[in-house]
Amino acid sequence: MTFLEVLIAALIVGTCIASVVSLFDFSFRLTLDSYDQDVAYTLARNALETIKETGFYYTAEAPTTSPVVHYYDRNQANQDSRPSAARYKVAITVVSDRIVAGSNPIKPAEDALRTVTVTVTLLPGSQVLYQGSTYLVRAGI
Amino acid sequence: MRHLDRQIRRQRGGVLISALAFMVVISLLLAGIGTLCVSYYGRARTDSDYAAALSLAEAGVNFEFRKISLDETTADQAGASNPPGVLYNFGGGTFRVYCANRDGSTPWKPPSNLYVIATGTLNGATRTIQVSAKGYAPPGNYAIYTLNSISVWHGSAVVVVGDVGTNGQLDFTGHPGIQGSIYFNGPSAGWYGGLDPGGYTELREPRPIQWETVDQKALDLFPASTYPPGGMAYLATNNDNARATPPIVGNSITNSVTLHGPGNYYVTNINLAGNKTIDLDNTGGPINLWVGPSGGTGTCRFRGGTAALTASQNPSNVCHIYVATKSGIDLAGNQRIDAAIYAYNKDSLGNEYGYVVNSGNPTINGQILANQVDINGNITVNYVPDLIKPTSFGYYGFDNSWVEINGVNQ
Repeated sequence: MTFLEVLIAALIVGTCIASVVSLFDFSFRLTLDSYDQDVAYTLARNALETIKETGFYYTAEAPTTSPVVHYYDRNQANQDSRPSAARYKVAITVVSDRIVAGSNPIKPAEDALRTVTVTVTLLPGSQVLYQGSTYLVRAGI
Repeated sequence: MRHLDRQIRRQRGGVLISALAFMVVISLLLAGIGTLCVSYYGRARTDSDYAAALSLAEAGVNFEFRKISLDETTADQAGASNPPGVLYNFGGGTFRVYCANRDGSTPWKPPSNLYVIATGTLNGATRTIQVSAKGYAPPGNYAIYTLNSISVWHGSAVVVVGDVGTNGQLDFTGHPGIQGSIYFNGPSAGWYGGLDPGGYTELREPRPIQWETVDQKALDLFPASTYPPGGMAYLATNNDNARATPPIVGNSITNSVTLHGPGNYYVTNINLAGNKTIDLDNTGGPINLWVGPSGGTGTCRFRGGTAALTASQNPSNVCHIYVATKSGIDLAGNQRIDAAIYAYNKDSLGNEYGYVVNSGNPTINGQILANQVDINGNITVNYVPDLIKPTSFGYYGFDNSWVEINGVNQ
């Protein structure tokens, strides 16, 4: 066993340990991203299903300039009263292509096609994790 | 000493081999963990896309519902493309949609019940659903419905309990009491001159409602193949006028008479004044009073119309007054009329006509359908459901089934 051998062995072991640490970090971030992706999808799907349950007539119009916004923490608990503690922001827009003339608040016309868009953003920042859309119509699904 | 040297020589490189073995083990672990993480992440993405594809497919179905509700002739059909249907971009992905008949054949032939088949695609994830759909009757419980005309309602004493609908125009000189909504159906419908009197609940539907004409109603009951020459012409000579009390002679009513049900009575003239009335004895069955001939201009001054049984007492014995003439019907007297009044017809060129006016103040328990309805005074119309039904659908929508094709929800 020479000093050179020990040196090379130490280098190999050091490289391995560095790789493990690096992979640990990579795995952690990837797992977190996956988790965020899962949560974002769940929150978006929940929002879409809630709107479908509310229905064509009773879902309030929410233009892109003033979307309905909800906040959720890592455990998907609502944080609308404390947005600073939130990790996810869910923005919902509902836009009708035809409305009842003069209605206030805006009512969709009977033959309206209502476009619902749900966008889930990671906080802080503005990374869009998920965006889903659907249509609402009279007697639709 | 030589033995010791040999032993030391054998131990040389051992630490390197151990380190390399360690590296191999760690590399295998790294590869495994890396693969696991990446696959987990990939699966999360795929699950998300897979679910979003379903949303897109559902959006495609709703899109098609709206499209055929506006105009069923513009339905997206399967066509010759493979895969079938029409492709639309939406929400960052696409959906492909088409209509099919319930037996699976294409193209869909409106207005029959149908399937809407839609495929949503996002980032390579694809899901297809098949949803059953059908046409729905136009909304509205119409006490009065007018078609392509300008109907003028005078004063504020008119009372309508139910909805008012029109494919044409309404002109109110006062503020009639309407205990329901006003439906403007189709692009031509609205207030005459754009003058909205205000104070009413207005609803607008994109399509005019289609109704059978009196001639068609007569032909439905008495088809030419079975009852030549069929329809109103058949009724002119084959009716129950002789069963009336007293019998109706010369297709003319100028004195009080009782019509007995079941029966189809045909007249070309009704001219009643004073206490002379037509009574409807529908205890034995429904009564239809037909006023002809089609396009005629005879007098029809109607009084009476009180039925022995109201529609609520016996819905199957309801009474109808069908007016096929251009001169229409004048509702005189103040009696209660338990009947639907149907005055809508077309000439050979397709021009629509049919007229209802009141010179008395009757209370009508039923419905009024006419090309034009001009009313005034203290007339009251109370809606009775299901006496008159349109021939067109108001819109299309979900019926009763939703299945995923080639998917987990099939």
